Amino acid sequence: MTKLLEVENLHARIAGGRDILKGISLSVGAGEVHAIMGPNGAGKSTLSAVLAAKPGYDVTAGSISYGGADIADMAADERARKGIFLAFQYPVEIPGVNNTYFLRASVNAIRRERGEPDLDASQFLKLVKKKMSLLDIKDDLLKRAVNVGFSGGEKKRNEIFQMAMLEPKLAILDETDSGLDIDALRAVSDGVNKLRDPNRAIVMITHYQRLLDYIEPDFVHVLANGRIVASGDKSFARELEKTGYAHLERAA
Amino acid sequence: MSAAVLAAEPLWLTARRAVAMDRFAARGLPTAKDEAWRFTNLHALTARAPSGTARLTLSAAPEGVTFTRLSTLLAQAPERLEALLALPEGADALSALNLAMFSDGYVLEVAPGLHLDAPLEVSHDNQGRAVHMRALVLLGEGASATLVERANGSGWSNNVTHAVLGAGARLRHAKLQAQAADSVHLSAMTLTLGAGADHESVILALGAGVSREAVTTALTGEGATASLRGAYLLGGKQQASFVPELLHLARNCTSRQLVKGVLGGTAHGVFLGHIGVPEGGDGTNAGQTNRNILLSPGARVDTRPRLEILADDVKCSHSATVGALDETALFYLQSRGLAPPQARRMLIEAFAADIVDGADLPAPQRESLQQALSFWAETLA
Ligand SMILES: Nc1ncnc2c1ncn2[C@@H]1O[C@H](COP(=O)(O)OP(=O)(O)OP(=O)(O)O)[C@@H](O)[C@H]1O
Ligand SMILES: [Mg+2]
Repeated sequence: MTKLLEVENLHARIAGGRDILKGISLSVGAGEVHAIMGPNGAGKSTLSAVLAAKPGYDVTAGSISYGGADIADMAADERARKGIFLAFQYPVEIPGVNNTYFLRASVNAIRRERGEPDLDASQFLKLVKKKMSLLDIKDDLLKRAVNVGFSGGEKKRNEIFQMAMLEPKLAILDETDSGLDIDALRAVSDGVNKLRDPNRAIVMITHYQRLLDYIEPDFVHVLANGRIVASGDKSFARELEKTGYAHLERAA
Repeated sequence: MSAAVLAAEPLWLTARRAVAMDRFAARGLPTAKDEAWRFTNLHALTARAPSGTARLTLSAAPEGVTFTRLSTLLAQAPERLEALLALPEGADALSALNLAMFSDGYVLEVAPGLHLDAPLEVSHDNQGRAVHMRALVLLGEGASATLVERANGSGWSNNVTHAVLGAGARLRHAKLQAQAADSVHLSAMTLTLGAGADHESVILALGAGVSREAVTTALTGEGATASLRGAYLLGGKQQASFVPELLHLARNCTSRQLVKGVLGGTAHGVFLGHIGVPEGGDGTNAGQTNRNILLSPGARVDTRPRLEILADDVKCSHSATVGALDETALFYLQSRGLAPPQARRMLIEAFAADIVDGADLPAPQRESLQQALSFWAETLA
């Protein structure tokens, strides 16, 4: 069976710059949870940006296939409507755009793609209530402009709340655990665990073993210097805590 | 040749029209050499539409209020207008032409101390003519009113509005200009504010191929307050100018100008904002902000603040910015499934919305302006 996501020998760069991804291969099946770890500047966020089709990056070699189809030419919004979700390492503040208004537009854009009718305001609010209880998120955040003035932790929670609302097939979480206090980390992890599903794959980028105690991954990869240099199961992360990345980078 | 325009107009008016026409003839249409008109391209006017009147609709006047057509009042009580229909010193050529040629308009007069809760509404729908509309707005001491104005249709509109606010009077004015793309809309509003008077204008310049909104406010009484909130959302080859002039002629007056523009295609936006504080204008607090977003490489903005300050104790700030839509925000919205036009529309609306959101208007009127902004944001996205 084809995997949900197949990344093969992916090379990519910031337009006009040098290669940052230097031959990534990664295969993610539906229902799986993958953790990607690795040193600062290794290219983890770059990989997530390229998967989400952020403008400004050039893929110079290799391929990305999603649901069995090559998505090289698919723009960011279409990828999102087809079920790819990126939780940003640095969620963007958008003054003047109300969080609820934005989220409803987004939910409906994705429903339309699936051939489902738009949610009206009251159906939408029902869904919001249901998903909010999943994540222990404060509803006053929904009345404010998207991420504006949210604390670091509130921004991260809002990302996971959006994930819960949009029900993606492939969720890429870029350091969603960074900047969370202990309680928030637990709440967010609980939320993500509730969103684990045989039809949904999760790729989480993290620096910390602690997250993996809460959300147990099926696979752990080390991304260093633009490549996946080692992979293992969840026990591999514990090993890394002790050994660090240096020996892997040298070996690569 | 007689210069009378209306069948039964008073002699003093006919005489003044003749003088005004001479003034216009001597000056001619403004050209690129007139600083205040530098960027307003009036070539479209050389092939002039035949003059005529706009279809003018006024809401009903409550008790104690005159809200009527200018032509009606001129026929019935011309003496009430004699002191008011005059050509001010320094009036420009188009204001002179307006006095020479106007055939209608409206008069709003609110008796001292009267507070009107319900807004008064006026709409002018130009039927493809050259229309010189003249309006008078007179609020007695302590009176308050809200006036909502809509300009539609095509042709050339050359409107002049003259407003006088007595001490402590309060005027809220909203204007939605949505004329057809082949029209020229020129508007000159002059306001005189008495002590403690308080004025706010919200002007949306959305339609017309060429438009110009000149608002000259003379703060003549101590403690008067004036605010201009403006937006131009332009696409194609549209061109719009805002020319606010705030004159702090008395002590302790406050003024705010906040004008925002969004420009696509090869549209051209112009902001020529002036704050004048002569000697004696101590305690002035004046702020001026013009912010612009260019959506395309062919769009253009000229923004020129001009401050002339001769008093000592003055707080004055001004800022002007020209930028683009935030790429990171666009990507964020797209990464949540919104197609680029929808994402752009959201950001355009978000940028311009506070012009209307922050306006001191009753909710239904504010909402109707919000809808207009939203509609035009969508056409630009
Ligand atoms: N806009 C940019 N312009 C130039 N270089 C960039 C840009 N964005 C990223 N880079 C560079 O690309 C490399 C990879 O960055 P990336 O953000 O993918 O690292 P990361 O693995 O996510 O690191 P961290 O763990 O610190 O988040 C870094 O050297 C970074 O400086
Ligand atoms: Mg990163």
